Amino acid sequence: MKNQAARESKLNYFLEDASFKNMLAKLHKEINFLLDNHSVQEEGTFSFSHYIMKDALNTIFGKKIVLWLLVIFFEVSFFLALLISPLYSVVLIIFIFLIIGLLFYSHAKNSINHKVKEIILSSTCMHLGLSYKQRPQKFQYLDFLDTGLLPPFARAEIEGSSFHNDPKKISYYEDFIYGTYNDIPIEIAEFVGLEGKISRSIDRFFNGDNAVFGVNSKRNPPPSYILCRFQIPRVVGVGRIRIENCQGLIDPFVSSFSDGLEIINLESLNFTQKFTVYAENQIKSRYILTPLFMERFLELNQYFLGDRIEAAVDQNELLICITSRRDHFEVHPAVIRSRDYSYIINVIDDLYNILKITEILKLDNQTRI
Amino acid sequence: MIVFAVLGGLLLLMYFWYVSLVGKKNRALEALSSIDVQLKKRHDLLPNILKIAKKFMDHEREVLSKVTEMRNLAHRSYDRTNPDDVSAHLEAEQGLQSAMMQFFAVAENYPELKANENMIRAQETFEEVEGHISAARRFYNAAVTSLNNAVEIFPGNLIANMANITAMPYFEMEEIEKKPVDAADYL
Repeated sequence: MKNQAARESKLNYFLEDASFKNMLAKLHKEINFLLDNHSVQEEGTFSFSHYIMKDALNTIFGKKIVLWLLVIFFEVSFFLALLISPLYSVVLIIFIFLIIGLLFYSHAKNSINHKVKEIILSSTCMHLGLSYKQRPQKFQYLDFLDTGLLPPFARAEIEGSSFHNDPKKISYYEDFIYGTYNDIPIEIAEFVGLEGKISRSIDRFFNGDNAVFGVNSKRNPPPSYILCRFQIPRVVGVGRIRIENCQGLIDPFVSSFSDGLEIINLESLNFTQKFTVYAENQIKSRYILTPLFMERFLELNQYFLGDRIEAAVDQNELLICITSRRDHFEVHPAVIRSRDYSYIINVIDDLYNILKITEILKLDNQTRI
Repeated sequence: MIVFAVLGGLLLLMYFWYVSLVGKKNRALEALSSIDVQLKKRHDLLPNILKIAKKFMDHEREVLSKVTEMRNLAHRSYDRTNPDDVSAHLEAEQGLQSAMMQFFAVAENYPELKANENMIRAQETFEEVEGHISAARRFYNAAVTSLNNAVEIFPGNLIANMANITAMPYFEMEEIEKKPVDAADYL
C-alpha cells in the first residue's frame, strides 16, 4: 500500500508539471489524428501471403522448419480428406483459411497499439532526455543470459530462433529505452519470450476487447521480463555477483554448483530471508553489498511488490531483471479506440517506475553504492 | 553387530563434524589473512599521509606521533592460531583506526591541508582502503560467527575440545564509526 501511495503522489506531481501537461496535450492530439486516419482495412492492403508466410508464423513459431512442417501437414491433410470425401476437404480448406484470416485480422487490429505506444514512449523518453525504439537493435542480451537473470529457456528460445544472428529481428525483445538518466547511462528492454508472444495472441483471439493489459485474463499470464542495465563506473573489478530471489533450501546449492559462484552469507537478516547472493569473491562482493545497499535493495523490492526483482553485477554494470505477470507499456486497441486517454498515464507510469530504480538505489556518480 | 554398527555410525558422524569444524576454522583463518592484506594497504598509505600532513600540521605533533605509534603497534607480527594474539592484533588495528579518525578531525582545522591536492588524493585512497577493510571485516565476522556457533554448541563443543579448535574473536567496529554522521560537522 505504501509503495502504491508513493507512486500515486509522483504521478500527481507529473500531472501538475506544466511541461508534462504540454506533452500530454500533444500526445492526445497525435493519437487523435492517428485514430481519425487509421482503419483496419488500410492495414490489410499489403501482401496477404507475404505477411502470413514471413511475419506471423515466423514470429509465433520462430523456426522456419516449423512453418514448412505446417504447410506439409495441411497439404497431406487436404489430400487425405479429398480421398475420403470432397466435403471434408472443403471443410478443411475453410478451417485453414479461417485460422489464417484470424491471424491476419489480429495483426491488423493490434498494429494501432504499436503505433500509439511508440508515440507515447517516444515523446515521454524525449521529455526525460532518453531515446526509444520498438525493437532493441543494439541491446546486449547475452550478459543477462550469462548471469542467469533470464531463465534457461530464454537462451534456448533465442538461439533456436531463425532470427538469432540478426539482432534487429529478435522478436522476443521490444520497447528499447536508452540514454542517460540522472547522469547514469541506462538501457531498458522487455523480454517477452515465446510463451508470452503466443499467450498474447491467444488472449486477443479469444478474450478480444476484454484482454486489457492481460490482467483480465482468467488464465495466469506468462511472465514478461524487464531488463535494465545501469553503468556504475565507480564499481570496478568486483567480479560476478548475482542477487536471486530465495527459492527454497535446495535450489541455492544447485545454483551455486552449476556456475561456480559461492553463496555469500550477509549480515542483514531481512535481506537474506528474501534474497540469496552468489559471487565469485567473498570480499569484493561486499564492496557493493554494503548494509546500505541491502537496505536500498529491500526498498526496491518493496516498491515492486508483487513482481520478482533480481540483480547481477558484471564488470561495471548493474543488471536488474523485473519479472512480472504483466505486459509493460501495452495498451489494448479497444482502449485506444475508446478515446479515454487515461491509459497514457499508465504507460508513462510503467516507464517512471523502472527509472525510479536509479533513485532508490542511488546509482548516481556522487554516491557510492 | 548392532552395537558395532551404531558405534561405526557415531564415529562417522564425529568425523564429519570434525571435518566441518576444521573447514570453518580454516575459513576464519582465510578471512583473517584477507583482512591483513587490506590492513597492509592502510599501513603502507599512512606514512605518505603523515608526510603531507607534517608540512601543514607542525603544531599537532602529538596527534601525528600517536598515529605513528599505533601504526607500529598494529604492524607487529602475531600468531594467527592463537585467539589472544589475534584479539590483541585486532585491538591494535582498532586503536590505529581511532587515531586516524582523530587525525582527520584535527586536519579539518587546517584549510590549506584540506585544499592540498596530494592530501585530497591521499584521503580518497584512504577512504577506498577503509571500504575494503570494512568488506574484509564483514567477511571475517561472518566466518567467525559460523565457527564460534559450531565450537560452542553441543556436541560441537566436545569435538572442538578434542581437536583443540577454539572460538575466535570478532573484529568489532570502533565506537566512533558506529556514531551517526552529523553533516553539520563537515559544513
